[in-house]
Amino acid sequence: MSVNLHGSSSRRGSSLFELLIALAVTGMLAGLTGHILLTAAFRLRDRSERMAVEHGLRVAASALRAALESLGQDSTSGSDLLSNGTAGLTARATRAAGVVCAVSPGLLLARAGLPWWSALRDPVAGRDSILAGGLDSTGWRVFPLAAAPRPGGCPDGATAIELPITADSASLASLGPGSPLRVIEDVEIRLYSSPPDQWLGMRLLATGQFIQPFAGPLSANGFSLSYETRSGLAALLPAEVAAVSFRFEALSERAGGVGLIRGAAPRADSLKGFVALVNAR
Amino acid sequence: MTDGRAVGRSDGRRGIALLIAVVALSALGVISLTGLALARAESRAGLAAVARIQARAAAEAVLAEALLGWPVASTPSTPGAEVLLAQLSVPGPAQAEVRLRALGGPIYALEASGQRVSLAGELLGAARLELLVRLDPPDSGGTIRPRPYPRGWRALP
Repeated sequence: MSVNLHGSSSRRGSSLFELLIALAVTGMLAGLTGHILLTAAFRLRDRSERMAVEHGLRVAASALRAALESLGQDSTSGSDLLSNGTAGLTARATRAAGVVCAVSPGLLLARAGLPWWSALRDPVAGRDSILAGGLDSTGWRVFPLAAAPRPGGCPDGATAIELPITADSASLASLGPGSPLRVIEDVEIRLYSSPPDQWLGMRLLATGQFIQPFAGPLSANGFSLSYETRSGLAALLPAEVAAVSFRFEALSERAGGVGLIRGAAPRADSLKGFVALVNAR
Repeated sequence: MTDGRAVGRSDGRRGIALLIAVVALSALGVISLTGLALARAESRAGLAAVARIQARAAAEAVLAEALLGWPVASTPSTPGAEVLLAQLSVPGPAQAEVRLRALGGPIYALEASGQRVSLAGELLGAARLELLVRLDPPDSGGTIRPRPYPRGWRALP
């Protein structure tokens, strides 16, 4: 009996000791696992946010490149870049492109349908202008769009879009069938504040509308521009600009973060780019 | 009886450890899969951007080739008529071609399109460009040497 009691007591002591060791080891393992999980979750979220920031920067750069790349100039109509500031610029943005099939006083007829006419939207009188290319060497001419476009017909029977313009006969003399045309409007692109963020925005100058977000969110002073001539020198005037360098800077957002990493400081990322104005001389 | 309790306690401890292991491994698995998905998305976005650039490079290359000139007999005259001027394959692989389209006057449109395809033939990226050119009379060899028209370049949608 005593042997049995002694033996039983010995087994209980051993079990308690084992239990304590097991709890300690389990605690250590749980702590280690938790640390690994928290670290992995933090890094995952950090990487996810950096990807979002980088994606936003790429979108901003791509949009800016698309807006600037085809800006050009010629001796008659001047430069498509209207002003060049370090935090923004104004320029002629192309909204549609086509080909003239006939010219009459106060009216340009453009061939309708693909592949002749491609447009982001319909032309709007009072807001858009027509840039039409001369068949001789006089270059392009700018005509304000005087009234809403309407359907029409080309002399060869093809469908056309009638574009009423304000123009004298002398300025129409160089135009004719086969003249290229563009529908343009003046826009301003700059950084603007919409608390708590900064955004790259675009504003239509003719309508006086409020600036609309273009890309972002960006850091404070997270957008800057510089301009170069064809020879690589700093360009002071819009007509001298052959290339535009831009820089974006954005912060990762953590306001919506889960509790695991709450309080971590936002991280900045930036992107620099360079757009050659293909049509600049 | 003693053996039975001992066996029971031992089973219980193994169960807790197993549960902890399963939970931890599941969490690590979810994190790993999410990381893998992020990496794949990042890789796909990067490859798509590279494919677009390669397609555009091919389009620009074939456009440059067209600017070297073409036989006068290849020039269309009816508005809207077009001819295939050149085709090009570049390592990648990417293919490009350029067509000359009559606009109805002395100004013509060179339309270049480039495509980056995978080895299996899947389209990875594409680009289309237009360059307006003015045509002068052919040279003594009967070749048209086009001159780029001011503000004539644009990326097509």
